Amino acid sequence: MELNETHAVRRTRRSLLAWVRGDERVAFGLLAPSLFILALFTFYPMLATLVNSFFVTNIAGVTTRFVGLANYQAVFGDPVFIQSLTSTLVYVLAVSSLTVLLALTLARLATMKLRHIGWVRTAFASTMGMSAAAASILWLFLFNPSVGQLPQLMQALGWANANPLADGQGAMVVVVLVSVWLHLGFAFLILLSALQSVPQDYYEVAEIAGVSSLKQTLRITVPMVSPTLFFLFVVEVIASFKSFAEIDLMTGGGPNNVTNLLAYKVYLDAFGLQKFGPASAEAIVLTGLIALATWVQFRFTERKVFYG
Amino acid sequence: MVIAIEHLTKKFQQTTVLDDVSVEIQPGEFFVLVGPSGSGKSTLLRMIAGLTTVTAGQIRTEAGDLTRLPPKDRHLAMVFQNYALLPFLTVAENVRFGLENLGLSEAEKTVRVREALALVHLENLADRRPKALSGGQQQRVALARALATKADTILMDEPLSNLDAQLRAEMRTEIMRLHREIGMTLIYVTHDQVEAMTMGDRIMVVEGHRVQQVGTPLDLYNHPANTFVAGFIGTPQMNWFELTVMPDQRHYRLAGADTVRPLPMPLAAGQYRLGVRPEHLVTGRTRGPHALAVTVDAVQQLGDQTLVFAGDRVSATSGQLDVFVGESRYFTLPEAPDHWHLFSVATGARIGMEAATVGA
Repeated sequence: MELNETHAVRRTRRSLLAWVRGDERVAFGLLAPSLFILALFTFYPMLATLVNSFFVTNIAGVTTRFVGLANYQAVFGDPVFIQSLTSTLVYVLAVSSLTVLLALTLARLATMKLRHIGWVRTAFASTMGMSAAAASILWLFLFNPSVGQLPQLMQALGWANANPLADGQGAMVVVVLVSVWLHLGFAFLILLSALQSVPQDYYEVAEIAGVSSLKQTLRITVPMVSPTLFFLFVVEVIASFKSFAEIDLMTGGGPNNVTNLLAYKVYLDAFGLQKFGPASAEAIVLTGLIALATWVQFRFTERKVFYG
Repeated sequence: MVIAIEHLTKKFQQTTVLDDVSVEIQPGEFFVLVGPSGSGKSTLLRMIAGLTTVTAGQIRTEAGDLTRLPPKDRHLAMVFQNYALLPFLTVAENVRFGLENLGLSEAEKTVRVREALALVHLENLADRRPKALSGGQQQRVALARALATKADTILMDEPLSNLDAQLRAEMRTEIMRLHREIGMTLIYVTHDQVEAMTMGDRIMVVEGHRVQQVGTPLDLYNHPANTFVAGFIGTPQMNWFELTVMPDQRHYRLAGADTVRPLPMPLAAGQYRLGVRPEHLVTGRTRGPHALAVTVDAVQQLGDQTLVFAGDRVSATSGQLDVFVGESRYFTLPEAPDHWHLFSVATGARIGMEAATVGA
């Protein structure tokens, strides 16, 4: 017994010595600057948000009174929050699935052996270089009821309501459309590279067997690139939960809070209404939702992924 | 079903990949396309399959013109060099994948899959994934997928190139057995002339984007149409000599030698390229009218035959010959006119005995 303890003590001393002398110190030293920045701008705000969510604050955001879970109770009792939660789920589902579906379709088109396919690929990937703010302004003009081309086109096609942004459902559709458009370039590029690693033989076998193009996509492409599809879904869901610029610039959360998504509502409650406590509680709920959605995907979807 | 290929040409922009190919492939024939890589033989196969478009010419069968039909309407199956087995499907599912569009009931498909797997002796591995199989087994699955379709014609694109030598020999026999039992038309692409010679009913030699010769294996061996076919078919390769026939049409002189030797048959005067198969170039100790003195560079004892190398020439003698490196020997040209393969120096084309012989 005693012998064992001496061994343990020696081992500890040796590992401590190794730590002081060894590579770990150098490694830590090299990491220190980024750890410092992360701590200051990520870990501290996260922690502060968690703390704030249990307090009432004054108008400057300074905590004044501990209220326990009262902020969370208030948030879940707020019909606007519940509406925002529903809108967010609809938006996230629509944006992530439409983005991946469209990106897959475009990537399939872009792997065809055609002339000037390079130009097509560049065009499909181009939204990757577009900032959300610039894109929102661009689409805002396109949808502007007095000068925008799209309402005029919609009117010409016999659309009754030619100002979609003023209408609840219409605004949601536009916001989803713009978000999908924005996310598409990245998703397309990632899928294109995945698709290019699928051997051409597989499609030729299918071609000879008479498998239709759609079935080829479902039965060859999707399983072959399933790791990439899974990755994209996870990343897209997280990104959609965090959408802010499109909402802020295009709808301001309106009309009637239909497009008031969680990330935007947190901002409005905190910096519009100075309700820092409840806003912090909402932010924590949003973080929890993202974590839950990611866990669900890993738990249930990843089983269907074929890693080869 | 006779497959008639008429003046088939393929160009990629300015580059000609295949130039004016015509051939008729008979029903049930084992037809081999052979040639070095880049010769255009795979392109020809892919045009027959419909995977590559045709620039000019036609592919026809009794059923009509196939040239512009999509692959699925040509009633054929194809086996690829890399097997092209979907990694996430089991062996049975992979075979079933080839039956997609034949309008079979599910029960029929199951029967077809079982039959096809039995043909290639893989019944026991039906539920395995391709990754759990050896290369040879994977190729058998690919064969089963083609066989299950019961297509009249099966195209094979270098199906054995990724296998090691022993497996290749085994699969060669296997494919020949299946062909004999089922009797489908087989169009088979390979760059390996031994594979072509041992398997094909008829062989088409493709080189430089053109057809060099079509014929039975022995046709190609005994009567090569040009220097390319002569050199390509047969191992070890044909021996080459440059010779000049004297104006008397009875004697010749080899390039680089002063000796004037008598011809085995009279020939028109002029320059020729002479090809002699290694087994017709005799190694010996005695000097005769057609003998060339050589110093032995290398000897390969194969047991059933002995290969003697000297310079860029090789002589094959059946049996075990008592000869060592560094010894002096004589290589003797054949006496039989049949064993003299004469080609034009300018074009490389075969010069028929009838055309070259005079008087006689």
